Amino acid sequence: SPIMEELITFHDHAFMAMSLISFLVLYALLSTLTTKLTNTNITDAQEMETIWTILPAIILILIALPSLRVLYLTDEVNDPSFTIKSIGHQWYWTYEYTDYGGLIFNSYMLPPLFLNPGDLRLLEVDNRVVLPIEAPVRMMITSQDVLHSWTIPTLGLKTDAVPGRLNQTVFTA
Amino acid sequence: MAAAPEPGEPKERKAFKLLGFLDVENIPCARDSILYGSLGSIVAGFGHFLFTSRIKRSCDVGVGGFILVTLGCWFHCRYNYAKQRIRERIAREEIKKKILYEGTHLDPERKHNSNSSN
Repeated sequence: SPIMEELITFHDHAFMAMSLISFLVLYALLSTLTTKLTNTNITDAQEMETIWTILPAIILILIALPSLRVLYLTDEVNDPSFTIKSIGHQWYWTYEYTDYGGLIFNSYMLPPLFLNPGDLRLLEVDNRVVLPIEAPVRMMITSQDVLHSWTIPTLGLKTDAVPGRLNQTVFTA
Repeated sequence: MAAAPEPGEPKERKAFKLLGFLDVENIPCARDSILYGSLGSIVAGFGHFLFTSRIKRSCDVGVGGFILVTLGCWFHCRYNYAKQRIRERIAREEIKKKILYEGTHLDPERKHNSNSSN
């Protein structure tokens, strides 16, 4: 989904920054361990301290700005055409499609004994959620008992199901 | 998730990761940035050594060159990659619209043809 693409892009950006910082720190560590230059009378190092204060601040800003951009992109609500309610229970989900009629069903995980060859263990359910593709869908998520979390990792979605609270996520599959 | 390979099928190649964690194969622009960075590091470090004959300082210059060249190539490549993705997305949307509106009064090609015939 577009959001997942943006998340992957941000991950690549932050990963490269993190890798280069790690490489630099590793090199600095090795240089410190192997140097023969030692001075026990150093009292201050104003220039170095200025650099290692300002440079990390700049790096953090360069990481934070794309992060905030992705954060606000995931919060965008772009006129969803369909609403599904998802209620978490111990230990199943209830889905309600109430826009066009009153379809309500429970979705239980299939135990390993009931799986067919090729089925995904711990992921297959008896009644699947059916989502329209290329259409914005609003998902209203809550819980009946304890905290749950509703997620589709490949779409970049994860929303907590909190008892007494209605959380919303909008996505396009 | 993936089924086990059949006896006749080739085995899945293990993903190569630089230093065990940097996935240069699947991250766009990573491979080119690292390669150009390495080249820049060698050129900067070796060039500095040729002029000054200072080994440790040349190593520092090499590392600095690697970081700067990698970052420069990375941002340049990612910027072009982002522009390309935007162009692809626009093209996809336009193709969808063209298929959707073809033959109707909203078809822009129809409007253009009627304007040119007038």
